[in-house]
Amino acid sequence: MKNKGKTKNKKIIMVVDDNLDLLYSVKKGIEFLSKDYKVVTVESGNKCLQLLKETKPDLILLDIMMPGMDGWDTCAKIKNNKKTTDIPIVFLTAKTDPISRSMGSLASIDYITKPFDMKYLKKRIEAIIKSNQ
Amino acid sequence: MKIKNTTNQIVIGDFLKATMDIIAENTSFGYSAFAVNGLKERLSREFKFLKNIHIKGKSVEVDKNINSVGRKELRNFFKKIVNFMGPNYLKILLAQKLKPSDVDYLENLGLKFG
Repeated sequence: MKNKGKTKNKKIIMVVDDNLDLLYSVKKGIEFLSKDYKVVTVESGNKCLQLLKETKPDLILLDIMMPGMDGWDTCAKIKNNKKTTDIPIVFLTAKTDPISRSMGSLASIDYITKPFDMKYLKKRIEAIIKSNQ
Repeated sequence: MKIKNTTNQIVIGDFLKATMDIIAENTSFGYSAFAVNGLKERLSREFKFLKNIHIKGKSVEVDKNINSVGRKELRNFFKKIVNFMGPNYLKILLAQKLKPSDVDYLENLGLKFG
């Protein structure tokens, strides 16, 4: 977690997932596809909340099924905090059932299921950040 | 509105508690409380009577003066909540969680559970 503060002119995307391979591939994939983004990776909900005290990303990609604090609770804590409530959250998850989708739509701006196409993910990130500006 | 010994106050309280339980069972308690409060906030401009509903932690308190709210407004409110969560799924689970008198009341308003 070397990326404290915003890199000049780059939008910061925070990815929260306990799968280190996924964190690596999303960071490399998004940063390869666009120079507009700096990807910060975090491996747990607790660490995400800690890091949010120091930096404010433009978007959070959040896994749901994580040991310790899961994505649902992490999302609620982010949204219940006045300092972070306006950060758009996208669930990035292996939970493909319609119930989880419905539940996810109550608080997140998007719900993307794994496996996903990196170009599709980048397009969604672009669209959300643009609409949030 | 009052039907068979139940009131808006009772049904709205039961409905919101059941909705919170359903969300919590599929996500987490913290997310459920956040989501239901979020729904209330989103709908509060359209439905002024929501100011009479107080959600604190797991408890839902509904003021008595909500009993004067009309059928049409109530029906629209319940339909909006159900639609936010995906109509079929929530209806099935709600029908299982609510008291028969609540279900009768809601069906009388125009919500179909069957």
